[in-house]
Amino acid sequence: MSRISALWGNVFKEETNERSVAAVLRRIPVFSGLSKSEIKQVEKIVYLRTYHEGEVIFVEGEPGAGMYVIESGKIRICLGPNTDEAHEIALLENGDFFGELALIDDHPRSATAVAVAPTRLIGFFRSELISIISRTPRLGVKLQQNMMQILVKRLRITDLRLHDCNEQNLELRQQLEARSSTAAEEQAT
Amino acid sequence: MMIALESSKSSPLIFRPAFKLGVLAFCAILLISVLLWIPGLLSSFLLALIFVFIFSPAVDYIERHGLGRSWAILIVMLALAFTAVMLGMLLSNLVLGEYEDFASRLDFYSSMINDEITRRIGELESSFGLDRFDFGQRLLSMAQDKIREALLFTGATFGTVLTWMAIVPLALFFFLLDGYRIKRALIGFLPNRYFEMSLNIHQKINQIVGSFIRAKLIESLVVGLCALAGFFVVGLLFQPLYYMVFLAIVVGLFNIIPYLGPAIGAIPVLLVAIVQYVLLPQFPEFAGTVAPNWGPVLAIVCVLAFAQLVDNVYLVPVLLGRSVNVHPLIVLLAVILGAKMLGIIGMIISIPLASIIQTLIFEVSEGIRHLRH
Repeated sequence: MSRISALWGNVFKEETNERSVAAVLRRIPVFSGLSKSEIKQVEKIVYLRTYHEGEVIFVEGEPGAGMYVIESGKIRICLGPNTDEAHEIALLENGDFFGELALIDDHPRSATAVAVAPTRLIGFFRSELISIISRTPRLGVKLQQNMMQILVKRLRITDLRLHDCNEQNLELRQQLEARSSTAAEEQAT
Repeated sequence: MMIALESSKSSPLIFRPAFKLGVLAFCAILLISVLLWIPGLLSSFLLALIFVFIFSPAVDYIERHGLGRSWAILIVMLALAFTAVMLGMLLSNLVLGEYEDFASRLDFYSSMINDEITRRIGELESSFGLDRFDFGQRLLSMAQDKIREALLFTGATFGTVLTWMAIVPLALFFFLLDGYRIKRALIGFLPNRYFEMSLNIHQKINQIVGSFIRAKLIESLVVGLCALAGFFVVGLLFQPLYYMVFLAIVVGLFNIIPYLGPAIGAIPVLLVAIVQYVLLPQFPEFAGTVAPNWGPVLAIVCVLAFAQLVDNVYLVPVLLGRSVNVHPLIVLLAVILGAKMLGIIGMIISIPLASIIQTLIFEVSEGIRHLRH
């Protein structure tokens, strides 16, 4: 888990063979715990989009509109405008999702997403979430709670990694200090 | 590999962005042509569009309580029809009576004002030696015709009103019910490149224009009520102002038009007040009972100024603070176009439409500016 990006990687992945839109949605943490009728409601408001190989879904810096779930195909997430393998921070496949932070606000996207194979995406957008909250608040609350859980999980992973980095940093600093003190002793002798 | 545009000449024609945009543009032009071709149809759809922004929160509110959307729309529309009928029954005697009386006497009133102004202009012209040009008289008669048409709402014909009554409720029902599907179909058809941008634009327009239209309605209601309360107080202090309810409605309605509206709305009020309190008492049949008095006219000017003060100091910052501010030039253009097409009703409905167009232009240009691929 530690190899994938805490923000862009799918840290929630579950393996299954079901392929319908409802089945794909049910596996996504944003829609977990929804009843059959609620999933049907969501199914009615999502957009199905088809992208050909090399086509850009969004670019870093553009205002975000919502999240995508990969129904089929592969999506490369890259930092900056370059979309080659060298700049890849995550490679997402069937059943993975990305861009869910844009459900909260239209803050600029923090990475670029590009299709690396013919891809079919299920899009769930902020305007639809707002409409759900205003028309069926019960479902809206469930979705928002799920989103909070995702954010908390990502935050915990980020926190863990930061903690690891701090420990490594401390270790390196101690090593450096030890080395510099031995070097100073050697110089003195 | 840098970002490549969604061009792919190998993909079939119907999937190419240029083709999709071309089809959408063609459909839009075709729709507008049909709407313009059938008289009253365009204005009916525009009115229904404005009503969608006004009533969709009420429909959402009912839907939130577990009812289906069609039932929620039906309830809102029935409530609307019921309110209109009840208000009509309660106020028709008062307001329609005042309107009919006002309409029948408008010529008399304006001729009185006309005579008075002509007399004053004549005096002025002769004192400056300009009486041969007759400029003042020509300007006055031109303005008189325009004001008469505006005050009596004669821009919209009976046929147009009938078309509205037939089409607007139907269009409103289907826009409220299927507006979401129409939006999905239109946005879904857009090329991938403009897809997210159009979703963001739609959300912002919905938010900004919806709050602008609702705020304008509340603003006009409060200003109208302020004016009515003020006229009532003036009536208690002096003599009750003729047609006060009708005139307060006119003041409130015209207040929807920014910048120009308050001035246009004040014209009939001042016209009636000057005739009633200053000119009529000069007639022999009133002599001795009531003396010509500029005091109530001044009080009415104060009432109108107070209503504007409430509007600009309290209502505008609170209600319209976060919504769109339509540019004065766009207001002027919209009002002229609206007046040309549908008279006074066109002037009023042109403002929410102008706000939609201004927000659309601004958001599309902003969206394209932020587009990075």
